[in-house]
Amino acid sequence: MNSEKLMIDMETRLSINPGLVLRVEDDDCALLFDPDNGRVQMLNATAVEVWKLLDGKRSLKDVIDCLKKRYEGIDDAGESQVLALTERLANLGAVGIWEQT
Amino acid sequence: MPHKVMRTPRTLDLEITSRCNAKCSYCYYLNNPGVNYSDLSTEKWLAFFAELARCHVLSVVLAGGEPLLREDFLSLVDGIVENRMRFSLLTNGSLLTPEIASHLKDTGRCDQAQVSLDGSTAKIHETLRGQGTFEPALSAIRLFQKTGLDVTVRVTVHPGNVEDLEAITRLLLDDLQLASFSTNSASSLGSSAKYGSETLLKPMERLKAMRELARLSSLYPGRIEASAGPLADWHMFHAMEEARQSGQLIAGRGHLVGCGCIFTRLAVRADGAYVPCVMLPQMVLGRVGEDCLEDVWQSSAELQELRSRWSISLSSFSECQDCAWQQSCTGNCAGTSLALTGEANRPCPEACLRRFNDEISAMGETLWP
Repeated sequence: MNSEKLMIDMETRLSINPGLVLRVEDDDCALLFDPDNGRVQMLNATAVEVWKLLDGKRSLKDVIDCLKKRYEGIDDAGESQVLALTERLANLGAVGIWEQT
Repeated sequence: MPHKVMRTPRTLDLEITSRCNAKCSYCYYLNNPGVNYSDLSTEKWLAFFAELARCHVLSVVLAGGEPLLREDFLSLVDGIVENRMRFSLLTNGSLLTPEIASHLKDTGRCDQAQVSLDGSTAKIHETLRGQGTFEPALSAIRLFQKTGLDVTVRVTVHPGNVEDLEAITRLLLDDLQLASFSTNSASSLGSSAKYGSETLLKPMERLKAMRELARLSSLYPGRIEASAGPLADWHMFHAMEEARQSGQLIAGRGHLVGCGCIFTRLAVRADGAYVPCVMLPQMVLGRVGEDCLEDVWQSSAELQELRSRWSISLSSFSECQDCAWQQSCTGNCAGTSLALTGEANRPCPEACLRRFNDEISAMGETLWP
């Protein structure tokens, strides 16, 4: 992954860090676990949806379009929240741009 | 059910071998008539680790027997790492080499290594652990430290080391500079059930151990831990008495809530039997390679029954009737309760405050100065 700070916009195609483990505990809560340092982040159901859509092929705009198809009422505020979420995940090293192998 | 049950356990306790090179007379593991003492093959463990990855298990505890007796120990560690888990190790330290310690360190996935040490001298440590076990344990602690691994010690309090608790604390916290260590005591399981009088604390010894560990805890704040045994009982009993005196309820208490592990973790015996906990080795829920972990975790009737203990009120037990501490009690460990009463979903007599209070009162002592 590029070690420089990632600038994320609606065209960025993010993928998940393949070294992390997403553990869905129940319908409301999931844990994002980094086995290399033992850190755990809590994700809510929406964050899990976003996580699963970040496949390196979809842009953030595509991700939001997918969410809009699944859920009604996602507006500009919702889009900002998705952007903020992906920025937070990127800062944690949980998502980024990985070279395809 | 008062607790949500997660889809799969977060952590598993794995007894990767039934073999041990020590013969500790209080071992909960050996001499249990309900246990088949044989080991799963390397291939079966590695296949199981892949299943754990599919179930998104986060960590495992490698125990035994003595885990380092397995010739394939490092291959198993590599299997855990490849399947994106972290691990801890419980060992007597006797077989640790610099190569093994370095390998563990290099994985970057070892949360902690725990060495068993019961005394500040060979004579005391070896009382119930057998000759020649003290120096190797000390060397292992030092080697783990030198390698840069997080190492801790478990001290099992028994009649032979009650007088040594201050000395062992100084050895571990002052001389060896460990961040902390933990304590427990033998329960009426396995070898302890067989050699009981030699290994189990009598009421006055237990009281002495409680007071001494409480005193040492105040001298070394936060550095002596206990989830069972005299120090844990001391804290529990005082919290219960405080609740009784103040009339303030402790949330959730008054029911059989003493065991929380059944909601987050599971154990596997060396022969591949799934069991709820290492303290319930005879309660077989299924078998590795034959039964899917997720199914066992979610559907095992025995496990469901065990989890239901959280909704069982202590007021329903004759032995808890009229007990002043009933509403602040947890009923404690299901494993020792099963061993002592034949029922897992019953309060554990070994941990009963009223019973202990009666025993020491008869000898002119009290828990509350």
